[in-house]
Amino acid sequence: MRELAPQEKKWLAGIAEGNLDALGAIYDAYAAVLYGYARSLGARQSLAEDVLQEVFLRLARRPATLGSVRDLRAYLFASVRRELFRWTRRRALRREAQVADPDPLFESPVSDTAATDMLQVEEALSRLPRSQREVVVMKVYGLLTFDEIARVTRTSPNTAASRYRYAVEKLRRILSGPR
Amino acid sequence: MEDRLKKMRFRSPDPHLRDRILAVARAEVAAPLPLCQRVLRSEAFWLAAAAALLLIFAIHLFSVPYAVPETYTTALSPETEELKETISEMLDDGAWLTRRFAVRLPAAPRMPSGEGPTVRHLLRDLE
Repeated sequence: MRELAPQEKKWLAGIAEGNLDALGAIYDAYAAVLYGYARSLGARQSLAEDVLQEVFLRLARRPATLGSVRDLRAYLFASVRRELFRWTRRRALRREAQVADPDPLFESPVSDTAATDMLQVEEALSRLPRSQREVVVMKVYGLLTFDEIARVTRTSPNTAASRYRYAVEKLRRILSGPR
Repeated sequence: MEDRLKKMRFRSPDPHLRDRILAVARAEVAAPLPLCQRVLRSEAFWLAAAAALLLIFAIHLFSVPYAVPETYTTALSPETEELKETISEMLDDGAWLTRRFAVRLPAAPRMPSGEGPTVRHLLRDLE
């Protein structure tokens, strides 16, 4: 298990003391990747933002529970996942999914070549099963280990690793295929 | 493949989201919710309530004496009454009926059909 970085310890201690600048610092460090994670799981912009808001407000509302957090990054990913699934149960996500989100998942790059590449990667990612897509996002963009991914997704590290392997193989196949 | 993926950066959320979250958090920290609202909003409360309901239902379910036949005794139809008489005669009052369509036979005597090996042996011995 990853140890809390000194900076993360400081942030969590700050929140426990009611210092909301620490919450802002955590937001600055992780909001973009958590937002991308929620979007990659099928949430539209508005829902992803609602989920993000709820996750960060929970941090502020329950400072006492933060004492047991041993891995902030994995904790935040798990919180986003749990919150998103809660919304799914309320059928919000199903309704959202009926309309394709016109906004791209990734930042628009400067050059046209990079933009084409971005669209191809985004399209390839969208063709992965959700279980594989989320492992790729957590591994590549969240920098989580397979152990951490396994804890977030409540599977075994071997399952997480094999999902990642299958996903990368499939992405490679899609991206090297006829264009 | 990983390098190609890493080149992409996720689009950021609405730039005002950070301020919105911090404003709500500040308001909540400054004026925390009353205890009753906090209790109503807590998952633990609703889980405990659901568990209590399930427990009450389970106690009710297991305390109903479904197994006592007298509770469900109904009047017998003429046909069943006739059947009861027949069975009683056949079994020498060793049977009793409790329900219209249920006949309970305590240690029902085995009626030799004449086809089993025991009966065949018996018949052979008699011969």
